[in-house]
Amino acid sequence: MKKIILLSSLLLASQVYAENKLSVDLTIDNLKFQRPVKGVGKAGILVFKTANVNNNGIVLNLNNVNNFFDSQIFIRPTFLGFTTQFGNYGFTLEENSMFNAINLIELQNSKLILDDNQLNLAGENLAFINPDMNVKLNNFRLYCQSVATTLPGETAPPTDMMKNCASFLTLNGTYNLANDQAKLAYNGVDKLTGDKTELEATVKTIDIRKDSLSIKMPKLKSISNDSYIISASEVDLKCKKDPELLDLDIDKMTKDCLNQMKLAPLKANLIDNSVKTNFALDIKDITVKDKIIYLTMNNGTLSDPLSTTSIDNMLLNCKKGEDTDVLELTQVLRDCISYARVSIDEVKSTKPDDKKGSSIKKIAISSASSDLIVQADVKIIGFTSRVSIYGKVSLNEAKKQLILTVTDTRLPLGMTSVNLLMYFLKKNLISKDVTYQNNTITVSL
Amino acid sequence: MKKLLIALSLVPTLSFASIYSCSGSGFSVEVTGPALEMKITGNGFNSIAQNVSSSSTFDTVISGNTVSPAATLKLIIKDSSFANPGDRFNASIQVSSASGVRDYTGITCVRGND
Repeated sequence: MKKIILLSSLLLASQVYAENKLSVDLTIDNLKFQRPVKGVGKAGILVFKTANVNNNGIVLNLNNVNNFFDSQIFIRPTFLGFTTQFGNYGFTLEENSMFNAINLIELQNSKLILDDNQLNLAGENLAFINPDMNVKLNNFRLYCQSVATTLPGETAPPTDMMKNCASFLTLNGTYNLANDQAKLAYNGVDKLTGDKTELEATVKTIDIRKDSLSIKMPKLKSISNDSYIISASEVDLKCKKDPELLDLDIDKMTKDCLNQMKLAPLKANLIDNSVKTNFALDIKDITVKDKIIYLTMNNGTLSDPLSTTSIDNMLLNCKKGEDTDVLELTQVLRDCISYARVSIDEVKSTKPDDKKGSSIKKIAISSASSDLIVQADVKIIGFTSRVSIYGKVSLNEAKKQLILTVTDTRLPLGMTSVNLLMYFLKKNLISKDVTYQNNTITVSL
Repeated sequence: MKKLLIALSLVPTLSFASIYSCSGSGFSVEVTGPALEMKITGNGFNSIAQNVSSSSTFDTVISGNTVSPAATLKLIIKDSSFANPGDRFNASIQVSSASGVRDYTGITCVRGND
């Protein structure tokens, strides 16, 4: 998002050094800017229909009839030039201009309006390509509205459009049709970790307001390092935004969002190709509020080559620290160990050679400060009985292991044998990720 | 009481000095001064615009934002002369929002007294 607004600014190099007044109304057929290998020289083309620019009182109204003003772009270290068959024009760039960070931009069939009150950029295609990341948008519109500053009638100038967009921004697909969807694609490589991220989404709307952020994406797919895939449909997210945030700080917005959010029902798939697992989720609601995460799931199915485990009707409340990344399992578990309440109607496991499988019903789990209580209805020798397990739970983050130490049990017929429970678990709860030693169960994450 | 009535009768004159009064294409727009204010009604609007500013180059452009619906309005008046009260000018309104950009033509503006 930030890159797109930057691009809008870049479309008018004059803005880089404009001091006070700037208004622009441009209809662009085709813009291609590609930084030359040596950094200087020919750098692309600009074909536009109309250009109405008022830059600090220098007014330019152009109708590009018969393409008389089609331009060849060239760049020098501190100058951006446009040559046409009738003459040349150009703008001085500052040495630290953001233009220096741009490698390739393409924009087709676009309209840009930028002034004291707004940024309105719509286009059929936009590509912003750099060695470590690229963003592509199709059929999009980006609208930011200026906010009044403390002085009556005073607004943040267009040069400070980031500030305006941080308080009022809408990205949607109204380039052509009122209710169409924009397509968004992102590819990036983390310079520090080398992690690759790919993201594809259809965007109904992304709205940033002074104290809120909302996202509606009919389809979303993210791929990390070519192996970990999250795909979801009908993503409808509403979150809190810091009203004091005056910049489009995506990291800060994401963090704030994950600490106060509500996600409407959605279906999602989490695929880890490295370990050949597929987690299909039918989520009723995810809410994060007051440092607690509330998850309601209709059902979930975790499949790997050896087994399939399905979960029906799960309610989960867990503590969530402000810095916890909800996509990092170890971080989530660390919080849940300190406080969690879970109830599940049924967990059922099947294997390719055992279609009937095993089932545990009416599961209730609570943990507080590493003390763990698990209760469930289990079928033992044909009889369904309530089993209670008491113990301690801890997390070995370095080894990515969850360690459960059973200290007491309540088994059918008044039995309280921990050894008997461990024997039963070893026989019935078999997984390559679970190991048993005495009264300790270790789960590899 | 007489003084109060006189004072009250002056209030509209002082507060609503009309600069332009425009109508057409379903819109009615009043631009008043001395603190520039733009009131717009019609086509889903019934608002007093915020952040109102004006510039006069080849045309006179008065722009502002509305909150509900959220949009940026530009009243573009083909007023290239030093207008006298009562002069009439062709105008258009550009409505720019997250829904798109639409230009309404066929609007007539009458220069007010201010």
